[in-house]
Amino acid sequence: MLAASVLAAAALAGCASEQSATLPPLRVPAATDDPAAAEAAEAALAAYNGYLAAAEKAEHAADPHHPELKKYLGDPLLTRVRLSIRDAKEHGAVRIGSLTSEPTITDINLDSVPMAVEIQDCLDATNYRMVYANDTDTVVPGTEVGRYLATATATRYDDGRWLISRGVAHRDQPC
Amino acid sequence: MLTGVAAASRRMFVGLAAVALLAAAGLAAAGPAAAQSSGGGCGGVTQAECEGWVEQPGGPGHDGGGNNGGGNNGGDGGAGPCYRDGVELDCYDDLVGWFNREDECYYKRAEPQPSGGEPGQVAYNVSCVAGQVSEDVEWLSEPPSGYEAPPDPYELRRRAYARIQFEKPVIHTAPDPDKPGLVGLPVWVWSEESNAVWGPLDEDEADRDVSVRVVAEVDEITFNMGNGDSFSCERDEVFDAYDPAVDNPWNPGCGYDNGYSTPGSYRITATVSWDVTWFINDVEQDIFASPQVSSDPIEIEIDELQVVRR
Repeated sequence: MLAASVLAAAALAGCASEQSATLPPLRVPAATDDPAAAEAAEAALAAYNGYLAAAEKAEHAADPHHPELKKYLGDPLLTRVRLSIRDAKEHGAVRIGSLTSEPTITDINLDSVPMAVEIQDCLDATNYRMVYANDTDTVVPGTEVGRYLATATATRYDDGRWLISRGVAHRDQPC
Repeated sequence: MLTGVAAASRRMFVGLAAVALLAAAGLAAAGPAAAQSSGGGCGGVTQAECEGWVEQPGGPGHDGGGNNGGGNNGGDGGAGPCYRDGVELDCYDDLVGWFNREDECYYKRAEPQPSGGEPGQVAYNVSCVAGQVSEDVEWLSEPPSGYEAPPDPYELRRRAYARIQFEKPVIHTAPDPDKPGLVGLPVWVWSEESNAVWGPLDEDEADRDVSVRVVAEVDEITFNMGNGDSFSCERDEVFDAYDPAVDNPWNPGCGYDNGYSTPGSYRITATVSWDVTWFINDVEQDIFASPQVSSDPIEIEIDELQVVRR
């Protein structure tokens, strides 16, 4: 887990040099040998990966109420994701293909209420196309995007689950 | 509703701009809409461009401009429509929740509830802009105004009724305005055949488990002959146009059998009387509106019957 973080951190450092200053500074958790932090990081990454997989399924199905979504997402992000799926659907659009992801942990805060883990990702959406539902060969104009930076926050809930409650795509920040 | 009109024309303008952009890029408008490039994605990390849908003319999202002759028949129940910046919105949305008329934002309990609130507080998603929810949940001790309001059948009825378009009947006469008729001869009158003249017209609205259907049917059509005389006709009579080749002029399907008794010019109008009923979950309610719609007048000339005596 830690090794993966460090590797991903190294990969990010490569593209971070070309990034604008708005990127949050990459911060490897101070308490790297803290088992609680490691556990939180693992749970947060599992939720994040689950989120991406669930979002792909829901976006493929154009189903804002896809049951997988709420397994990995909490509000306000849960509602945001649902709104964007409904919006695309109402405009006759649907996603096909898949994303590739290289998430890394940038911060673990076990002292805040709720506890939070910050995640940064370089998503490649080259093969994740938004097309018209009635003409899946045609990409919706203006939606082509390659690799971009994404940031997300995993939050711990009272029942012990970690869910992703915030997530933003920074399309203007390629990686 | 001036603001509503302004909003509609603005959307049209944006739509035209989108078509121009597509044309400039050498692309056919292949679908119902295009996405416009924008800044940060608001729909999570997988949606890098979610904010930028632009409407194209004829696409979804157009207001059903209510133009009915029935006047205002609301007001008997319910809290009335929900408006933001003068634009009418649904009072409940299954994703963003209930509309609060006080701040014109939707509220929905955050799912699941995060930790961190004061005792007794509940976290809500707040949506004050179409298609978006705020970055942070809002903690409230009391539910916002209008929260968990049940579906309002009167509001659904009002919206369905607003979409029914009653059109003026278009009528014809024999004799027609170009050729004077004669005193004592029958005058034929008829209407062009159209659903908007006779119905039934119906519209549906639904919110969660409540569905409402509004049905408008014609009760009768009445011709006013311009001299104080009037008569009504049935559906199977009123669409019967006078055809000199086959019709006996003395026996109009719908007409003024005895004709005018004095010469002059007369303005003929037809008035259609509608009865509008409604159903809640298929159970019939009452007649709640009886609008009347009149035709444009037709002016005909009636001359004296010339009798030559020696």
